[in-house]
Amino acid sequence: MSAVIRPSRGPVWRASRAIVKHRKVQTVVIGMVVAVSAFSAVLGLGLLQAANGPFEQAFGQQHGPHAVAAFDAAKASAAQLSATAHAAGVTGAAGPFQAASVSLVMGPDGGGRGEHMTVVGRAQPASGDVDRVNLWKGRWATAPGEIVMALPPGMRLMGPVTQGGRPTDQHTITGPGLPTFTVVGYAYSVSGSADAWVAPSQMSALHPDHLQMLYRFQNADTDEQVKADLAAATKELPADALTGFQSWRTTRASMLAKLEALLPMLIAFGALALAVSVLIVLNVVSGAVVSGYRDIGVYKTIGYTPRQVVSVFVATMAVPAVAGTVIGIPLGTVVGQPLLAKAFSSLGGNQGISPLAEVVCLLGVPLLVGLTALVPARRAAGMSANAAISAGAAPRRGRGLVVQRKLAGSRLPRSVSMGLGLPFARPARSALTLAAVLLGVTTVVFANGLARAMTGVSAASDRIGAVSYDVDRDPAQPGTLDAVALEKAMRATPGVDGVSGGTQDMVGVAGMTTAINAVFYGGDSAKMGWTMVRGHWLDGPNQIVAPARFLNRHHLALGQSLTIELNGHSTRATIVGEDVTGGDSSLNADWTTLQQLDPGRRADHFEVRAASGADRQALAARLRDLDPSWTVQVRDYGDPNAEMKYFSTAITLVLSLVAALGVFNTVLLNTRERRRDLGMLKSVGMTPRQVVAMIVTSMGVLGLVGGIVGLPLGYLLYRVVVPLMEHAQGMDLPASLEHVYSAPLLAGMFLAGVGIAVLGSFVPARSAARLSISEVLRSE
Amino acid sequence: MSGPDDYHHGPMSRDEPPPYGDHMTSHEPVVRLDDVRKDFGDTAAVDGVTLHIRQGEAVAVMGPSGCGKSTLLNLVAGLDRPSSGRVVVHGEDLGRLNETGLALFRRRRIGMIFQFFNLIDDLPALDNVALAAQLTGTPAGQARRRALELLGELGIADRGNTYPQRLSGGERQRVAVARALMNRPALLLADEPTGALDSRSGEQVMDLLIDLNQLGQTLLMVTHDPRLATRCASRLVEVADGRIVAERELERTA
Repeated sequence: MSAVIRPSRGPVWRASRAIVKHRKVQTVVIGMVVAVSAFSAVLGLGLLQAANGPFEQAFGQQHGPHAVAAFDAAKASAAQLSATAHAAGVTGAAGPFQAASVSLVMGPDGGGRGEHMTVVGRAQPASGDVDRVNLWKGRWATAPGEIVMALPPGMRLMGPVTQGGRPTDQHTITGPGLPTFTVVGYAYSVSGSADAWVAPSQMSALHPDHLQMLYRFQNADTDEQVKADLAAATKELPADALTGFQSWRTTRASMLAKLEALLPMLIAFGALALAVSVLIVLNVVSGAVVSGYRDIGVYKTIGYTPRQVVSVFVATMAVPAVAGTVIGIPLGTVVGQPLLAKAFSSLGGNQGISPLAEVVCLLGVPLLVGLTALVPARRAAGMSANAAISAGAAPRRGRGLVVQRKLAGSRLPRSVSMGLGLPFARPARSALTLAAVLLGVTTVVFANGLARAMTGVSAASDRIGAVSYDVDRDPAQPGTLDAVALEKAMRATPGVDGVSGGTQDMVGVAGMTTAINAVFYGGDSAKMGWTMVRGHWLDGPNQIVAPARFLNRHHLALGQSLTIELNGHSTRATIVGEDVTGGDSSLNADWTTLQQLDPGRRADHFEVRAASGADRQALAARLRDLDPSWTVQVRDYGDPNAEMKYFSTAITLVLSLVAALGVFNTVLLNTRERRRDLGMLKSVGMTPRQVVAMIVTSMGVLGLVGGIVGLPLGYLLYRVVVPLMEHAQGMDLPASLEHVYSAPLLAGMFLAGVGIAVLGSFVPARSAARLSISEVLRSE
Repeated sequence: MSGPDDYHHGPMSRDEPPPYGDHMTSHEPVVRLDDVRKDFGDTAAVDGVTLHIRQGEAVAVMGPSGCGKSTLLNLVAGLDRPSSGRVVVHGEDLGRLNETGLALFRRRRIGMIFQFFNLIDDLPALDNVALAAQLTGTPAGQARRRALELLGELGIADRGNTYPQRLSGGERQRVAVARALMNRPALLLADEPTGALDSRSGEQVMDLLIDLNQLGQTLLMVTHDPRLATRCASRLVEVADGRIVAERELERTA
């Protein structure tokens, strides 16, 4: 029989294996903590990285073109343009594609005005290696009469969708002298290379007016470089063949303007998540090693060298560290991916946790665990064997004695006063636990304030509580009532509390170079829930209310007058108020102003407010019955901030859970170290309920302190980040939306720390309450 | 599920008994073990023990290591539950009490002394003693006064503000005895009370136990030390392999 020779695994391996096997609960807890920490770290890093260059990431994923160039088809042939793809400095190109600039109308059912669009003929979403557009819904246009619209993922075309008076999910689009196209898909190009795409064979029906080429260049960091590269690539073409181009830098600037509001929030949450994940690892791993001091002493007595002892403990932590990291990173990626995709939906929704963030966490988290274990392990390895054994048997004595003495003499129930004194026995561990709770509370306060502010802005913008229905003209349907008759009929309808008619037009404003979208309101517009930042809503002739973006862009203030021009008429109106939302090229004016500019104009849109207590659906039906040529929509825009709120809620839950896990671990270690004391206390008659009260109190006090400190910290963070977001969005918030923290809310959040502490400590406290005294006394 | 309040009905009351145990009016034994068995896995640590201890008795249980004498003590203290048989202490069937009930039972009816004292190192001697009363809801001031009184009776009143680590072994055990007596227990249980003491301290603790017994305190002690047994006990119970193998009355030696 041949002998089986096993390789010697060495004393370090044997000892660490024994510790892992013996301390299964601790190993599992460390593994869980590292997993949650890795989860939180990958999410935090992902957020920070996403906040850093979100456009570049989306652009890179789609291989976006550095230049979208338009050529005169009469001056440059398709073959000539194809040849430019091989010019020096060009690293990729797509095209030429036939393109048409047309005015299209959503409808016949949309009822909107014609929009200028660039429609490109492309056989497939990814043509070559450039501009791989994301076809996120439906299919590509391949047959006659089919069109794919450019929209960011998750967005939908506005306007009522009806066909023959019945709702349908099929949009159609047409234009003067053009066939009607059915929307068969939605795609997104981060570079905005087209507003819509059709099959190349359909382009002749759209009367193409130029050829489009998409280029990627070797050097395209600045507009000047892009311009020079494009000039070099097209130098063989006739001089005026290139009719225009758009640099990717221009697209980038316009995209980032939309995202700026999100970035401070992402950075804040990312930093909080990272801080919590580092803290919890420091807390749990160092605590676990310190609680293993006794074992370190024992190993030293049997001949382990200090280096071997350190290796044993670092190796012991390595097992759960690696396991936790391997579990936590994919979890963080799975959760973070949809969060970031939602947050960056305007960039195409392909954002997610980058592989770099994953690699950094994969290496960084175990390294952090190793270093955290190394410090206390080296300290213990330097002690004498006996000193290590006694240091590990219980917390160092003599800490917080004065506090404990005073508490012993207090009028509090003894279990509570003992619990209050426990954190002083392990001040460093208590401080780390406190920091985790504190960050948890800070996050809860910050996220809650943010969500409330966003809800407030959203409600102020949509005026959902005030405006119940939107009534629009549907020119495709036969009808008898004009706007005046309809308004009268609606006012006479039982259940209607107010009707405000309006219309909009592009007007000129003296001193401004671009046209301004003016919305004119009449009737009961004051009842329609306008939230004002300053001044008041329209309540007289020749008044204007404008959003902050408009006022800031044009350096205007309340009280100033503007001259408005339309159809050759002009009138002056005074700015009387600033409202919450709106673009930098829009204003609201009263109906009398429009009458001076366009006397015969009638309203084409009505906002209707239902009386309180009215049956909304029944009232909608009554309004629809008035005249079929007017469509009635119950106002429900959904929540435009849904992803931000979803995001902040998810992050809050994750960070609170991480903090609670930190508390859980602290209690686990504390009760293990205090087994003898617990056994003794139970032997003199401490009831299980008193044991739970003592332990939960010991963590509750940390939670309370976490609440006291975390509350102002969270508030401070809110006060820093929200103005940044406001500034980025170019908007002002009224005081009612800035001060979102009510006293009961603050009181509730103050208790969040206690909640986290109680949540984390209750289970191990109950387990300690069930501790068998005889076993403890026997083993001690 | 019964709570602490449920526990208080029945044979116990919150009325304070006189010092050093009370004092059941009937002739019921303070401790009654009937055919008690305690298994740990396949091993019977206590195997069919029947033992009755009367009020005022001092019983010493002796036997070799691992014979089951500490388990016997734990069963009487309600720290372990019997696998079969009944354990009745001061009229209370411990098998019928839940964990809270057992805690309240220990708090009010028994005092325990351990070989290694089991004091809380973060509290000075006085607060260690007062703790037992404070757990019952006694106000801190009143508990400290009573603790000081007990430390005085045990001759270490001047050590009240000293932390356990600065006390000698004998002093620590006196503090432990004071803590055990704090709630005027009907029964004092001692597990190797002199096992960790030098001979002089051991003698002092023995004298203390004798004095307490002479004042009427019922004692059940577990020991390896024949001197402790013969000096302090009025009855000796010898245990081997979980069974009582001999039992005899003792004349205390000087």
